Amino acid sequence: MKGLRHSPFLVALGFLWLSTTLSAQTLPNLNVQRIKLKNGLVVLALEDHTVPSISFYTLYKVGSRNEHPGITGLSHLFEHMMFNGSARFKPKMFDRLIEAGGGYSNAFTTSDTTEYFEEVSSATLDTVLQLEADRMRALKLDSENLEQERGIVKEERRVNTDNTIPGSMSELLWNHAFLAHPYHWDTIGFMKDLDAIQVADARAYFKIYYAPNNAVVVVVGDFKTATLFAGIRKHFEDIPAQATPRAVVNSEPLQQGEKRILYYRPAELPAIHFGYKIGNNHDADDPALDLLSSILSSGDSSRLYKGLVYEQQIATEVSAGNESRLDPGLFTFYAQSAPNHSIEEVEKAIYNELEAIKTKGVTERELQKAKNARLSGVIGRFSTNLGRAGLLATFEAHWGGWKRLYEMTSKYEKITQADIQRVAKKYLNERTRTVILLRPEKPEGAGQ
Amino acid sequence: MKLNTKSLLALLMAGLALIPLSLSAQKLNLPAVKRAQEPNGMRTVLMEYPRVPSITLMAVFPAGKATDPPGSAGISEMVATLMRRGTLSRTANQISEEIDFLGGTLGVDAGTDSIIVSLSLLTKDLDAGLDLFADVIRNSQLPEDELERERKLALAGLQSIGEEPRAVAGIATPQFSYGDHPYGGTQTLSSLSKITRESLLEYYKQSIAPNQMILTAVGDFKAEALLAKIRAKFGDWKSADLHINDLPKVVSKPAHNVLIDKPDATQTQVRLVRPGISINHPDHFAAAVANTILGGGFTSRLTDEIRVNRSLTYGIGSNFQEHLLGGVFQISTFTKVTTTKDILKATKDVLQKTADQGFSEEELRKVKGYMAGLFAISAQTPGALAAQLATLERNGLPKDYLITYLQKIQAVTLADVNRIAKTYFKPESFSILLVAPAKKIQDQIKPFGTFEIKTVESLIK
Repeated sequence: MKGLRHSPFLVALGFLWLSTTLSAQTLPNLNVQRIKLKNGLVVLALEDHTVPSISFYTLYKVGSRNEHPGITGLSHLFEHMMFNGSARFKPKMFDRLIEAGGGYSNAFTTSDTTEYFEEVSSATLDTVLQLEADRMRALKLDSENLEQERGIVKEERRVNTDNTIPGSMSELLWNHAFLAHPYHWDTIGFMKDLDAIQVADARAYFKIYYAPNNAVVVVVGDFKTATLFAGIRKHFEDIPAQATPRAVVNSEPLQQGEKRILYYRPAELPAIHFGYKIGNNHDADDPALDLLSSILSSGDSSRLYKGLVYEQQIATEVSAGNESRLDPGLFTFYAQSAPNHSIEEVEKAIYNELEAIKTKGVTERELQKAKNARLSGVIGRFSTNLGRAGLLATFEAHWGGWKRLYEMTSKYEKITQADIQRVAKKYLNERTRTVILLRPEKPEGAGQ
Repeated sequence: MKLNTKSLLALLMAGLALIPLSLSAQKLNLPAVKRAQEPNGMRTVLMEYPRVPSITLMAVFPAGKATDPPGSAGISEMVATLMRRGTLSRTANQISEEIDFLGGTLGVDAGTDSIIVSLSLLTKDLDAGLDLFADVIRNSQLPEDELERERKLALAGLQSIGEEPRAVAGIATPQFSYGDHPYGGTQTLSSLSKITRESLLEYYKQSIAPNQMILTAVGDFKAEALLAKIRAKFGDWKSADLHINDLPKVVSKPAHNVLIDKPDATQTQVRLVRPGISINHPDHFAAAVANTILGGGFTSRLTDEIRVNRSLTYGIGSNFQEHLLGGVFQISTFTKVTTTKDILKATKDVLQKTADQGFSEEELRKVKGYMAGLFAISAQTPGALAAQLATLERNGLPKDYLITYLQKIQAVTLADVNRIAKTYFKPESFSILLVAPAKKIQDQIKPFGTFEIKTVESLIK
């Protein structure tokens, strides 16, 4: 709820390793057991008895890319509704049962996926199985549940999108970069759609997307696989399968020229947010784009920070990000100009840095630094029960099988300096660029 | 990737692994801690934690806001920022480049009662990292050009703070909570413009000395071997003659409401603050338990009533901010402008009921299970453990604080938490801080007393 980006927990996350041997180049073999129930539910189990604890992870293959105009934001609103009671458990029981047992639960929604998790003591496994199975089978979908979460989600939109400049500019960038693909809207949804969503919309959504054949369950931690699978069969196997959801159609037309959008709102300093069209996150060029974003903006020694903030002192902040998704996404930049410097000057300076990479490439040391940072991050996620559960679920659901996760390090090791230069030239092309320019106004008379 | 989530706090907690522990025994089985003191006064607190091949070191110094000279708020913060911007042998760029290449982090942070220098990295890179760490601590030059660069950035940061209501509440809260006490100070346009390199060097000399330093380390090392490396880097550092001033205790202020005008906001940021306790107060554990029932977790009274029952907010929480010289109890939340009155009234009603009627045995039993689980989760990584050790050493808490935490929580009685409720949760004892469009909420807030209306500019000038 409050700004927690600098939480010590986050700092620590990058440096967790497994007790098992991990070389710098490879990930350890995971003894994952997989079953598929008759209703299509895939369950992965990974025993780890280091601690008396279990991470229970459920991924549903649905996100805001599965929405359509009029119900934008429903995927995320729905995520909230999942905690408010099901056939056997009254409202409020979900969190009460989890917390009283010394655990917690949470969930998140993106454009591509909705993921739920609990971290609980080993003794609470059966309770979690019952809670998760019951809400997959028979979530309480009524106006009481919807109205409760509608108000909360609108407050979430106000605090994270409407009342922050980076949040509102990010929404605008995707609004303007994409015309036909559902990435046109942000996962939080448009405010008026949040007002308009009906219980019937939620019911239809539940039936299609919260079916066992559209989900992956991953359990990592202190349990016996045979016991877990018996419990899974007992609680989940009779949940009926549904028809396969229709595929998302990517109707996005080719962008054939830069789009520049002026955004007027009360603000003190000008800012810019822009993005270039790229491929999807399965594209062979995706790892090189990840490393390029790191070379551009990870740490004080990165090209953009060092160039614009530290040396030229024309920007107060600058960042780059490879925002690749299941369908083609954007490679983005954000910067705020320093007082007495125009945003156009900052924009030009970023283009100059990009031009330098396109013409001269990057150094071997820069590339190695980006790989080192990447490896720390991957290993960090890999080393906790919850981190492994999330990765297994993602690769099982979206990459054709959990074993693909082993490629997370190997495909980065192969990237060369020439690859970085090549992808910079290929994608950072002004014809597919969308630019949002913040033009500050005085507050008086503005907004509602 | 952009996330929309049920709750941000719990998501952050979720990245943590668990180490072996038996909660039923009410004792956290942490590795033993080895303490030593060197001839130059430096103290070390080392915990071998070999499960992960990484190390976190934290050097904690008694400094921070508490020791900012009167009228010079932000000195400690500026010293902390500049400490990693140039030593006798390294430029700012060299320091950034070296730590970034290792894939590690090197940070210097000024807090309320301390400055902490922290280093996290893989064990294999320890020697390179330790060299950098010691250099930054011992040989910082706080260069003039770096000061000018940072001053410009900080001024720009203040200038744009009014863009976000949450950030406005953030810079307004210290002064609102602590008044003229040094804890209430924040950097302003005038305090920033007054900072000179000489004042920073004087502060650095007075604060960063071996006889002031406590070095905690947690991770994959042998204590004897690490101690030898530490001695090699710090053993010849001469202790300093320090004139340590007595610092003033926090003085409780009567309730006083403030409304910061943010004409274009569509949401009101709300902070309720009242006098609290210092970190060494005997009520420390009882306060933690009572606070968690009132405003921690998804099933707390405040979340249940304000978020779940009333849908007035996405998040509400409370906490005792406990420091060496005193503290406050604070509730934070936000709601759309038109329900400002509703959220204030509903929050005060929860407080009134809690102060009047106290808690139930059932609530107490459940919250103990919840706190035990979260404590275990939050003390799992080298970084989190090193920070815990630094905090307890800096504040002179009992050496067995971490391993007896669960017992202390378990020992809190219903009478204890009800006493806390009566003492600290009475609604009329709170001051209210709002960041909102003043014209639009003035009628709504009349029932809550008078508000002093301030502009964002007045906070930063």
